[in-house]
Amino acid sequence: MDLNELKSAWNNFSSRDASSHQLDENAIRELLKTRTKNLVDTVERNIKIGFGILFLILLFLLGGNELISISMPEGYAIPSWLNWLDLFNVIVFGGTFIYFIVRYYSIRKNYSSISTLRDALNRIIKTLKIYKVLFNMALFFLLVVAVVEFITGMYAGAGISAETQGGRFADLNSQQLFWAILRGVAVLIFLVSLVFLLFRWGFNRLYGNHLQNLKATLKELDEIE
Amino acid sequence: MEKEFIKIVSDNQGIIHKVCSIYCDSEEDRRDLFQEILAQLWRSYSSFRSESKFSTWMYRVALNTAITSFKKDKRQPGQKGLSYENLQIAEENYDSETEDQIRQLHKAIGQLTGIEKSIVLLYLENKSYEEIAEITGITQNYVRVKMNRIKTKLKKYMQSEE
Repeated sequence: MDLNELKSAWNNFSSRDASSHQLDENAIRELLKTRTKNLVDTVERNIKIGFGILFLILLFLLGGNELISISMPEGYAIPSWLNWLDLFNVIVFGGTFIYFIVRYYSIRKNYSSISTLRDALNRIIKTLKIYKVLFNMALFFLLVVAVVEFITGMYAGAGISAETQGGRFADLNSQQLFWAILRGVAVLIFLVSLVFLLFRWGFNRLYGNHLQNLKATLKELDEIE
Repeated sequence: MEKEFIKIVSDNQGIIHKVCSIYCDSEEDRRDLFQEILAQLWRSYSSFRSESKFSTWMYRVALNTAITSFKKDKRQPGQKGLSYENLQIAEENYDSETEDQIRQLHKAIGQLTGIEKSIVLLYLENKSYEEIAEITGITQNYVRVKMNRIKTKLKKYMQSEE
């Protein structure tokens, strides 16, 4: 069978195949009405959820110490090094939040009108990548925030406890406090790491193959050009 | 605008069916891809300018969607297509020689990658290199080189089948 025969086989097949699958206008209208979200739609929705999570973490960072301070007795304050740590976190997280928003909307803007296959591939690959990094970062931030707030809470709680028992913070057994904090942090790290690993596994299982195939297609496209 | 869109898509739906038949390996996949292409066409319809032919634009959107489409199973885009189910339709309608040719066509195209399938589909549809380049958004030079490679690949495959 040569290429001409291939062409004639195709003509034979495609015309009959198309007519056997022919839809009338009502069926097309119905399909349009019931259309489901495609991969990019779903991922973009999840990216927006990711932004929401990052924003909530940011709000919590901004207000977390205030909440703890309110419950503390007069004369007690959160140590300044924890406030500085929080400020540092706010700057890093806020910067990352803005970075993601700028990246995401620049992808959307640059590929708003998909005219070529390269554009379509680039858009999906970049969107998937930003999605992956965004959720990893959100989980990482969650871990950092949880650890910092946990230490703050333990510190403040120990101070309050000493005060109510008529003692002073300096009288507390610092070794016991240290081990209690360490145990708590270890549990937090374990839980968030578990969520992180689960998410990474889920992402790779769902989109890993697809992402690899898209990259291979883009590479094939770039082969000669 | 929707009415106009449905009318024009209905008149040209053969293009979507051809793309679906090349890229899908089951009726279910085919229905999903048809719907995804339709949704993508509708979404981009406002950006369609009459600078190019409607069919050119339709081929472009349909092929881009097919190559980049995502399935939750392990299907690799562009690695399958022209399924046995499709061939069963053929069995009902064709004589044995034609049926055999279609079976070979199916196997041969099944060897190609997603991009190669898009180029070979347009070649089988008698599109010129210029049109193929316009639809796929790649240079004519690339199309020519790629087409030569595809021909070699197909010939090699068909010789090994004989």
